Amino acid sequence: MPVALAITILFWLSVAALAVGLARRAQLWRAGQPAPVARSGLLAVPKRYFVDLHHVVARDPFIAHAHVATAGGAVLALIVVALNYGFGIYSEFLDWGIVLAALVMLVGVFFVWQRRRHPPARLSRGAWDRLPYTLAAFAIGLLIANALPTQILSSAVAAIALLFLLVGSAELVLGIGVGAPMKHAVAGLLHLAFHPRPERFSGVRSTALKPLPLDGRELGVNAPADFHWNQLLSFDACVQCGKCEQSCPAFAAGQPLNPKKLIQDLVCGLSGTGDTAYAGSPYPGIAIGTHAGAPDKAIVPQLIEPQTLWSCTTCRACVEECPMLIEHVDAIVGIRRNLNLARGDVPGTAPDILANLRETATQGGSDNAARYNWAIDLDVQTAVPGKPVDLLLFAGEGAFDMRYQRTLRSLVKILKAAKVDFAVLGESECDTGDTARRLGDEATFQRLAKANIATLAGLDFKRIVTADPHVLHSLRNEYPAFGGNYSVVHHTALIDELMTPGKLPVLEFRNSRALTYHDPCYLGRYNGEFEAPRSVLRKLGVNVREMDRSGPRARCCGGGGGAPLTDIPGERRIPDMRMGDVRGAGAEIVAVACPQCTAMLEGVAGDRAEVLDIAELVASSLEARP
Amino acid sequence: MSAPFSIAVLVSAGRHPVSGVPRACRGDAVAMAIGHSLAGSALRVLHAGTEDEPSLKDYMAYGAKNIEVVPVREGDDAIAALASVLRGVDVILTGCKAEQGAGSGLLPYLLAEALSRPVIANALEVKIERKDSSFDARIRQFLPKGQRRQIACATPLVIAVHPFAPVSLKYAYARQISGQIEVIPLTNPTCGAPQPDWVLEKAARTRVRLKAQEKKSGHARLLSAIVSEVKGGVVAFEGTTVDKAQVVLNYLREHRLVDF
Amino acid sequence: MTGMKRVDPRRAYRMGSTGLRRIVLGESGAGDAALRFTSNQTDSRAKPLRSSVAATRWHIAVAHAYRGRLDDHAREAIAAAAILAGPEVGVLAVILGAYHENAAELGADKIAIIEDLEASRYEPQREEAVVQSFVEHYAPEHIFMPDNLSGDGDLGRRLIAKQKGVAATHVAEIDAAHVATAWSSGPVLASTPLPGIVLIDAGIVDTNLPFVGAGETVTPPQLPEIAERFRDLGLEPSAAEAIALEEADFIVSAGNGVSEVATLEQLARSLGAAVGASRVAVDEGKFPRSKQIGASGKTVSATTYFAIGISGAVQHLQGIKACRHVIAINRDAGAPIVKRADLTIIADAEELMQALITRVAQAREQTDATEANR
Ligand SMILES: Cc1cc2nc3c(=O)[nH]c(=O)nc-3n(C[C@H](O)[C@H](O)[C@H](O)COP(=O)(O)OP(=O)(O)OC[C@H]3O[C@@H](n4cnc5c(N)ncnc54)[C@H](O)[C@@H]3O)c2cc1C
Ligand code: SF4
Ligand code: SF4
Repeated sequence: MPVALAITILFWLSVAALAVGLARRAQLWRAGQPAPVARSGLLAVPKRYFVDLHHVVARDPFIAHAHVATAGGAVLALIVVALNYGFGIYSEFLDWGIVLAALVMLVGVFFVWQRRRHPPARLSRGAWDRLPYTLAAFAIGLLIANALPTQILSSAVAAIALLFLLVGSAELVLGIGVGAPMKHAVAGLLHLAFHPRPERFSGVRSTALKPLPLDGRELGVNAPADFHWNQLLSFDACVQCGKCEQSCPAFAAGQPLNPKKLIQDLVCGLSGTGDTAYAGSPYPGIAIGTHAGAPDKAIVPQLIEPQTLWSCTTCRACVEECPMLIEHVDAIVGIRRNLNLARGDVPGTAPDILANLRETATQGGSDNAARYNWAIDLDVQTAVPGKPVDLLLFAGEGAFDMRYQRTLRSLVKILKAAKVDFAVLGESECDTGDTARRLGDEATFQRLAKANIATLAGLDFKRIVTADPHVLHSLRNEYPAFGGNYSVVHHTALIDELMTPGKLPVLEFRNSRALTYHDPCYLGRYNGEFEAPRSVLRKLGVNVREMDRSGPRARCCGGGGGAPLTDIPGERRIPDMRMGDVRGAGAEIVAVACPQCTAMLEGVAGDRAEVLDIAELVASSLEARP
Repeated sequence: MSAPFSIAVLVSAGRHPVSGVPRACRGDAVAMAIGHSLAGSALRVLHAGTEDEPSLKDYMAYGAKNIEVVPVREGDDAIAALASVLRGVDVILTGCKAEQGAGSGLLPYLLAEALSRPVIANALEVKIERKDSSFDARIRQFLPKGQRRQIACATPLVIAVHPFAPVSLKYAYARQISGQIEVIPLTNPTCGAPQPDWVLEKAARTRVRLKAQEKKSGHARLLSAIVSEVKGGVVAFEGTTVDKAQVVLNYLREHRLVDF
Repeated sequence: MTGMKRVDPRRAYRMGSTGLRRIVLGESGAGDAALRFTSNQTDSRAKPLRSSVAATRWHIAVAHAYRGRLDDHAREAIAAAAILAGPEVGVLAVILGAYHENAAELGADKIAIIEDLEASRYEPQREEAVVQSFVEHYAPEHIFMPDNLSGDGDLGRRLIAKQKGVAATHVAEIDAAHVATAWSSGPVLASTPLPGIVLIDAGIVDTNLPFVGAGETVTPPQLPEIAERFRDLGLEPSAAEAIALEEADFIVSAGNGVSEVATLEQLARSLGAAVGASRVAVDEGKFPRSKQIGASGKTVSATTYFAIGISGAVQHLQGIKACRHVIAINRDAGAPIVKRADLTIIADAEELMQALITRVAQAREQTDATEANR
């Protein structure tokens, strides 16, 4: 039985090659920093694969089905081959199992081939283009070797079958060792096991940045080896599908950022190579082929140029879309931290704003005592120690913006109409540090966070309400790591609650103009709050015309992550594109729920929809009362 | 990097004008950046004051690895103390105005006088060139309305740097935690030039313009009172375009904003 | 004539709905009122002499003149010297550089013009020596100078350092009894009795005086032979358009309402102004990003900001907080810029710019003609 023997040998050779390859790759990952991981993660892989990962992949049914068939067929075939040939059972019955699996795989490969014939721009080409052929070779090799009866299997045909198998196996098992496409299968499964944010698999929106110890060896990530080892592993899981690229607002605006390329550059960095082999879309405006890195070499600027990192709005659209559950924002902020804290290299007006935050606890360099000047005539009480209130209003930087003061005043009006017992924080409020943190200034963020936590510790309140999703995110998700645990609601959720019959005497919003709602990234993707604002609008009797990109896939306004401050030039502006989405939905009013979104969308020049905060809409319907 | 000439920068205790929070005085930080570009780590950074001054941390973040504190307490003569330390230094850089207190901008002048050496103010760029056996400073001086002057002067000298000097300040937290402070031992500083006794007012108020006493009729006083109550600007919205152009020109001339 | 709010009360006006005062052109009696200030020479003959007593003590004011004129800031220093002088105190104005106006209007009793000490040259030691000789001769009680960056602030500090007397700089408030300065650059003032040398900030003295000085010309002293330690290598050539916006003193700024960039640039040239733009104008590719003024662009502090076709969005206004005189041209009287502007012309931008270019050219010619006649 020479063919069977050959397959057995090939199988064990492959296993050996895979093991050696994995060991070599693991060596690269181990250059990273230690990270606490649970070995039980390995056991959770099947669930994480079939439920969590598939949940993302299934958004594109075509490729989901193709992948299930291809990968499922291949895995099944490999298992049976292992049994039948690896352990030398050589049962003909099992051969038919292999044939079946190979057929399933071949069907999947056919669809993969189909997609690759007319690939969308987001897909990388290069080595990935040969996959349909090498995988088909594997399946066909298996078919010939196992389906044809031994007697008619001439030595020539057998040789061809073995050749096919050799080619296919090489693709499958060498990938991890040499960094070829099939690397994703092994790295992907291990990444699911050792994901840096394991809480994602228990249905939690894990979006808080991790605190950076300010006495560490390196402040943030200077070289690839400064990432945690499981972050390095996660970069290797990337399949270059470009879903992140497709959803990235900065990429669409022609700014020099492409999250896919960024992850691939980090792969180059961890493996000590250059980007010449990369065959996907470039960072807009930056040529491919001139960048290289090494595990211990600084990333910026040899591997990734600073303007790439400063273009990101931290909107998490890429993370939301990534089928391999890669955490781009953590990587970007990690490098920004080093640029900021170790080199002091931050572009645009960001250094001034950071200096203001250090020196005045406001972004604009304003007098903190003036933070609640907008409320002076509203007869609003200021929280004082020893006087309990139900609700504490935390205004944020928007308090200094004349435009957003209108929203805040509307919110106060609503709270009063609903007879809520509330107080404002007053001049002891500091900026939450959200902007500083996204810009990598962890030192300033932590100082501000501690100051706010100390202030809040002296006050007696049940909940905090804010009209700023960035404040919401800091207080709710990021302050707990520093000992601040609060129940924080966004004003839209609170208003929704108050609009239960009897509490808030609102009238229908009488306006015939079409209205759409823009999901703020920090409310939606960061906090999972998609429903409350829509529920409020429904209760106002408004029929929301949804934009194509809404809810979890909403396009960013361009205002997050300090991006308006670093202000990296592109070909378009992100808010202009978002206003285009509004226009596309045929809306004349765009309801918003965030001071940044308001400022960005109102900054769009020319004919545009009116920008109104949900609080303003509700307050105006209160006014409409006779 | 070491420099063949000796160079020092003086940094003062900055305060944010609104919050009063200690920080690096912006102008001094700019002067320090110029000093670093001239001499790298050979630049000496000096502060006249106390070693626990909180703003010194900020200078470290802006790049001062080692700050020498010239101990000066309230009532001491900082100029005399600094002069005694700086006598042998070829190039002394300062900012143009302190952020704390009166911010008179006199320090570089008084120091130069105490050391009997020339002073050049409002420097934007500084080059130090070897000339025969000594060094020559070449300075690009700031003048208003975009004008610039080139001046040369032999060392030793005092240079006060203008805050518009084209340097970028880089604040890095890591440097703040790695910097060091060293106190220079000093023998009794003598008392120098008299200083005005500034009396701080209790609260902010609007400043009163100096105006000549005028003997006006009651009617005129009434009229001027009415006029001064008008808030906001003037809007011209009728008349021909030529009339309107004339209104603009009148405004410019009335306020001497043009010289024709 | 410096107060921004000084409006001729007889000028016809209406109160707008927003509480803004609107002057009306072309209505009876109004047109010529608006056109009255065609000359900046005020009639001094009608005013009385400040003092008819012979001076026994002196105030000295020192300032540089530019192109034959004193700027507002320098005028304030002389006016302060005069306002604070008692009847027996005389005022000597020491003017460095050629000067063609009459400092008697500012209350100067004696005027010394040292033509040779042009502001365009750098000779601080000679300047110091000249002023020193006046100081020795007159033994003034107080010396007043403008605290500017164009030479006087520097000269004043050199004098202070030499004299070792009590002095005050950056003076933000002054009267006979005291001077005050902004403490720690903040809103709170610190005061001290009027010292020997006073360097004043701009905008603190009303130069509109009800009197005149004797205006007697003093022959300047022989200039001492001094070997300057400084080598003045001269001024760099500079063009108004090339001035960095942050330090431009006059900015003509374009918004979405400007259709012809060429017209705007011509206007800027004729006024000797730098060019700025709103973000919309920049986004449309009419101007480079370096010209953008506002929150995400440059913060400017020009004395005069001429906003043409700019609506005045908060992000834009943030960049012009420090501008003293804002003039706007806009079609829409409801635009937010109107609230910020000291003078708004409701007109089409292109038409008005054209008219203004013509008018400015005429006015320049007239001025040049009078200069030439002198
Ligand atoms: C985060 C952020 C940062 C921003 N930063 C800046 C910034 O740094 N700088 C900045 O400028 N903007 C900035 N903006 C944009 C700002 O909000 C405004 O959109 C912008 O300033 C408007 O520019 P504009 O006044 O030229 O245009 P418009 O708002 O379109 O106004 C044009 C004006 O011209 C008038 N007009 C039109 N035609 C004529 C005519 N023929 N004659 C006379 N008048 C005419 C109109 O009445 C109108 O008032 C920012 C926005 C955001 C969100
Ligand atoms: S967070 Fe948003 S802007 Fe940043 S890379 Fe991802 S998609 Fe792009
Ligand atoms: S990072 Fe994720 S979304 Fe982006 S290309 Fe890789 S696998 Fe696809």
